[in-house]
Amino acid sequence: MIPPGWGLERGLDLIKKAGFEGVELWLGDRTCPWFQLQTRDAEVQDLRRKVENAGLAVSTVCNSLDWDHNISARDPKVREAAMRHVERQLETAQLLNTDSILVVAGLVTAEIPYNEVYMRTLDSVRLLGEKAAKAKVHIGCENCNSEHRFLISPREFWQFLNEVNNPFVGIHLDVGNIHDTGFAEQWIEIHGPRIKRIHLKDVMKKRGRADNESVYTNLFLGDNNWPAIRAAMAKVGYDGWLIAEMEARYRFALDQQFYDTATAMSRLIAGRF
Amino acid sequence: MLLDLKRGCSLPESLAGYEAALRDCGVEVLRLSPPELPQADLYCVPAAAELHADFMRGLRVRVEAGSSLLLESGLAFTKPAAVAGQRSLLLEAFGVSFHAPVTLDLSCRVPYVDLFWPRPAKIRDFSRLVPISAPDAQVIGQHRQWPIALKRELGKGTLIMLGSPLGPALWTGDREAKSWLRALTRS
Repeated sequence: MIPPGWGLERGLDLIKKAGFEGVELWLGDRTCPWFQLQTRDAEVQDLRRKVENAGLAVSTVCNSLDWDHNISARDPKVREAAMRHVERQLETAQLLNTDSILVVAGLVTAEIPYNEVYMRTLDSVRLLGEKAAKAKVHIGCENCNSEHRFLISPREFWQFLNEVNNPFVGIHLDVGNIHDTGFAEQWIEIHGPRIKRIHLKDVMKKRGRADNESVYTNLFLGDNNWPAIRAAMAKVGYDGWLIAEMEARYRFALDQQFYDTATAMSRLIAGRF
Repeated sequence: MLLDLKRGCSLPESLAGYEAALRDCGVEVLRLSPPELPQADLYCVPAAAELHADFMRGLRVRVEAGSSLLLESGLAFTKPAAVAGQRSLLLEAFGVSFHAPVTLDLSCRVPYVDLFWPRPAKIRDFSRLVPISAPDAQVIGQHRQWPIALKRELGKGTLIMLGSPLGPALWTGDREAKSWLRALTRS
């Protein structure tokens, strides 16, 4: 979300000034030259220093690589590459002093069918879960719902995690990704203590994807029931990170979106609707 | 003791929920139907929509002697014609007013009721509820402006009355509902 051309330090400064307490880092994202697979440990430690010097903490280590190299891939070489980048997430999470990573676990396509993806993802996540437990870093599998066409309902996601059966593997819950297939507060209720992190964005449920038009929008502008979401978090006792993942960006005054989002999040946390 | 009112229970899934959850709490569950009413420490009556006057009096005697009664109202899910009569009998037997059922507005609402005792818990509402009130009672649950759970001492025993069904949440395995019931059995 750091505006293009701003650079890391200026971006971190903006995040802090806008009122945030942390930042989510994306391994392999093309807009983040400072955090790639080839970034060495010493450089990652330097990255941590820059984040902390800005008065922030790293909330999560995500990656932009799962869509091209997924742990559910048929080709063993592609799968191996995916396992490697998730392992690197675990390593860098430790270096960055955070205890959670986000993985898009499983990608159903016309070529690779659901049941096959389920079996392979389960195997992969079980193996990664063992490494996560040793590293004391949690794996949050993100609900990408219609985007990855996998674990679309809260109950099947819950059953998948039951089969993984590892306290270091849970859900990185995105309240916007559910679209019109369900209700975010119900996902929160069902998953409760397994929620590792929460992504926030609002969604226009009736819009649907249309080319590059986003279905997502600023908090309080879409169709999510935010008072119910807030109450559901209280119900299950969630008190972890809330992370703004704003897919729809302002066209102008890009920095203003940071301030507006932080203010909306403060209202959400305070329950002032 | 779990009291199965048979046709007088308006939500069979509530009965199933209490039975499963009480067993999970390690409580020995004996399921009986009126007019049977042997002595027990705790009587649990899910989704009560039709209780006979004699049976209510029997329950009152047990509570006054030291038992606890957890009575969940099923009046919001029974024939409207039966509601007024039941409300009168409940007031006479227990001194608790069960008010006219309320159908909740489903548009953009927070779908939880709040219970405060014996531990705080948010439980999903069940679309309709029965507000309850009584003199000298402690309100232990609320949904918006409506009190939906009361605790009242009666003789040597305790009445716990619920106006919003808890049983269906127990039936679906709701963690917070189960924790609340466990805390109640230990209180």
